[in-house]
Amino acid sequence: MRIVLADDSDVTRRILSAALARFGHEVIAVADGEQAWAAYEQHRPPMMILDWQMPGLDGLDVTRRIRGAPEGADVFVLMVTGRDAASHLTDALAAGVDDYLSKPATAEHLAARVRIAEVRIEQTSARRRAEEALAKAQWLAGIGHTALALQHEINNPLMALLTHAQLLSEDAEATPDVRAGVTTIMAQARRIADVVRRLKELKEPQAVEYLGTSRMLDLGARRS
Amino acid sequence: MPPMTRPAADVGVHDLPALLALVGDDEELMVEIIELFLREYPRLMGGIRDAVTAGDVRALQFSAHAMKGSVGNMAAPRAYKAAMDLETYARADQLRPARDAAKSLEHELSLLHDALASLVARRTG
Repeated sequence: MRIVLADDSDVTRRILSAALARFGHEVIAVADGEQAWAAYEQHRPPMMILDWQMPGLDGLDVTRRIRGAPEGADVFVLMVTGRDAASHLTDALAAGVDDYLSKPATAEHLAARVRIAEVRIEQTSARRRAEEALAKAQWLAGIGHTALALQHEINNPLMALLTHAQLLSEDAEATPDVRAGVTTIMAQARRIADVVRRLKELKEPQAVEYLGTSRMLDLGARRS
Repeated sequence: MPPMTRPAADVGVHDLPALLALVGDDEELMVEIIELFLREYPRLMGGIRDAVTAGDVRALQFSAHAMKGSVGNMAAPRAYKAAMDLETYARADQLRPARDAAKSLEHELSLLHDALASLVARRTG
């Protein structure tokens, strides 16, 4: 797992980096809060390990920024700090920190916390996948309902329109202009019928870009 | 609980087994972080001296906290306690006892420096 680690102490950074690398993680180690935020924006890691007290942006500031960023809610933030009073823990949780490890942190304690993070990250990822699948299922169901409604509301008047147009086209007294107009009406009515048929038979609906700003259902129609 | 979180006052200058536990029993890494510490702590102590001289308790609290974290990594209970005392006095805005605590910390750091330098010499020599 890719992890951004921020601590202004060279010693702490080296100890934690070495432990994380030993557990098989890819570590991006930085020395202050500004660099931590920049590393987050560049790498979008699933986990951040932050010291609380750092020059400039501190660990809580960085956490708040992450929580305010798109998809920042899913990032697991572990605070590693020498502040271990109950009030500090409350402040950390209020800022959006997920877990908390007192300094100095042994490799074993860090390993346990990272394992907790991995489980939580996988659960969050599974929940997101389920939400996306549900949203797609709802979208498909909506298309199915729409297709049925169109079939019912459009096909019946369309059939009446085509029947009457056919009768007009067979009228021996109709002028050439009227015949041409009726032919156009019948062609366009059949086109509408074809759209309704394709909507009903759609197997794997896809949305495509429309006019650059919107998206529409792709019915695979040839447009004239 | 990590071995250094609540150090006893009567333990030695540094605790080698605890230090090795912090680095996962990797002696090479231990030597590396000791060398990093020996370069890092004078800068932190300079910050403490400056804050004491300026009577800036906020800066002193910041510097003492950073020093506490740094010496904690060395499994050095006495220096850790001295840094913790200094941070406590600074947070309570008590500059006079903070000055004494800073002197005590400097003394402990001197002892720790000698002990760690000797340890590195033994491991690398």
